Amino acid sequence: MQKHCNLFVEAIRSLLRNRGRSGVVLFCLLGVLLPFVTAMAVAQGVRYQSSFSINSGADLYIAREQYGRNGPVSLQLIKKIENLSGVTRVVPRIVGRTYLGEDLVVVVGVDEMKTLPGLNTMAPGPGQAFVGKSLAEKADLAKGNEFHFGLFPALPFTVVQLLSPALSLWSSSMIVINFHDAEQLFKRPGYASELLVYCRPGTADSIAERLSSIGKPWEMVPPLRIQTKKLVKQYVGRGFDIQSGLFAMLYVTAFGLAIPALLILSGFGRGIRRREIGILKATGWQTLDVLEVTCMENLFLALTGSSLAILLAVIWLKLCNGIGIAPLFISGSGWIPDFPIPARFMPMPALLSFLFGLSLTMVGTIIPTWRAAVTPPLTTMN
Amino acid sequence: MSLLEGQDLCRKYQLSGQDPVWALRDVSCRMEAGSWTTIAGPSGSGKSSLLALLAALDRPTSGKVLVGGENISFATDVVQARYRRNRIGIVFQEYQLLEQLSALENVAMPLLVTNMKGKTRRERARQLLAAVGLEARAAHLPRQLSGGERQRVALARALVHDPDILFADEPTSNIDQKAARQVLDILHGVKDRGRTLVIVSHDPQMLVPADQVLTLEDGRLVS
Repeated sequence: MQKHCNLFVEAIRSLLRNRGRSGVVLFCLLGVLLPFVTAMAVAQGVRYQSSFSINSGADLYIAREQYGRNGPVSLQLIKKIENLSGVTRVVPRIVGRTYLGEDLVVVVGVDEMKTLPGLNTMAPGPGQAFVGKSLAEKADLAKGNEFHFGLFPALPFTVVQLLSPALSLWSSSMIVINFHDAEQLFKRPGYASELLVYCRPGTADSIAERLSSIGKPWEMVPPLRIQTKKLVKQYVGRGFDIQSGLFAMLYVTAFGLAIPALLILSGFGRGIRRREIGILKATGWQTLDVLEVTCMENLFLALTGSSLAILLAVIWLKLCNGIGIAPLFISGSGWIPDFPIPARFMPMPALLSFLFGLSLTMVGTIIPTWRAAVTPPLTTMN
Repeated sequence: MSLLEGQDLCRKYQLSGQDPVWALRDVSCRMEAGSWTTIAGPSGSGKSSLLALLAALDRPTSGKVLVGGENISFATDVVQARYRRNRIGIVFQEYQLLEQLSALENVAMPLLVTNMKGKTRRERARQLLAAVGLEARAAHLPRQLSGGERQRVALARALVHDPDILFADEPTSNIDQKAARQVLDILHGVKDRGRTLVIVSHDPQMLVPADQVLTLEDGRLVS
């Protein structure tokens, strides 16, 4: 046991002695691990915010089937749904896109702000609009300003509130108006793009089942598209999984390319290292002793590299707001995001980054070390 | 039974695209416990190659090295390393000190792979440095030491685990007369403690105290 303690201490001292080599390897590790840790933190942050939105949202989302996509649903259905036992309330909502100047913007028409996560204020009145802060800055709008959407000069709106980007990721770039105004704007009076159904706990599935009978062939209307909270969660989760999976795949490719690069870089000082191994072997060290010290060095390098990567990622995301990485995960955000980038640091990506670092350093050092250690000391020393 | 024995040792070096070079041809030798053997001969005669085979730093092309009757030439890497750690100490011609370690750390290095605690290890290394007259230079790096001092650090490192056999390759060749005298005194001290010495040298001073002188010429033992 004492021998292993001796080798453990020696590994740390060796890293400190060979500052140049340790520095180069750490630099390479940071180059590989920092984008990974940062991207994973952003992905987890966005995922968490989506999950929070879904959890605090409605229990059922109802739309009409239209060519396999969500189509407008008649407001007449509201009464029918409200009569189902277990339903507490039904809120119509319109979500669409239209032009503000030359830019396409998301417009939400709703009479209950609670349906938008994080927004617990009163809904805008007729002719009033809540505008996302970053959108307002872009369109040069301030509180009290009047504006109209591209093709509807006859329907003016007044900015009564700016939505803080801190509320949620999506609020900074959308416009919220009154439901009735949205009906006018999108020229579909009597229709909503979806109905949000709130139910008593445990009744959502049975209500969804009953609702699915509405729209059967004998009803002579297109069937309803009913999405439960669970289903939405699954869709969103799958979307993020695919996104994270794609990123991970790209990353593994980059990782594969990083190995030869690190192999070359870890050759930095390898001649001296080889001679050292020869001397150690000549003075009685076993091959396993040499490998043990190398493994411990790699362990330290990987631990230091991944810890530094996490620290720098925190700085990158919390202090620099994810400059340069946000658009990879949040569509519509620029390279310099104008809203707080959501980020969460979870144990699994941290563990993965440590394992990545460890396997990189191991691949870069263990084989050359082993080869030097099993060669007769006379050859390696000279 | 001899403590150390070389039987029909041959060592051939094959360089790519060139004829093989025979560094040693059928060399047999025997070293008794507590004896002093000097291996002499002109440059390129195979002295260092013979020492490398006897110290298990290299493997012979044919023949064998017996230590207490056990063949270590073709033993596993583990057995050879154990032999180097427990039975022998080696002083190299070019000192072979680790440049980034202090004299004290260099001397203590072989003890890292034992179960000796740090304090005991440093104490033992300090004793050895004191024995070779370098206690005051313990914190110095090899590049801050003279050739003679480096040679004495190498000697202290070779002796730190109290080996049965001490191998030294040209221990006085790169140092001045005074330093050579100090090294010779240390070697006499080792011999007086009943240890076996195998010294490669063409220094006449090394021939005088020897119980046995092996002279090599062109890879063959001539006397």
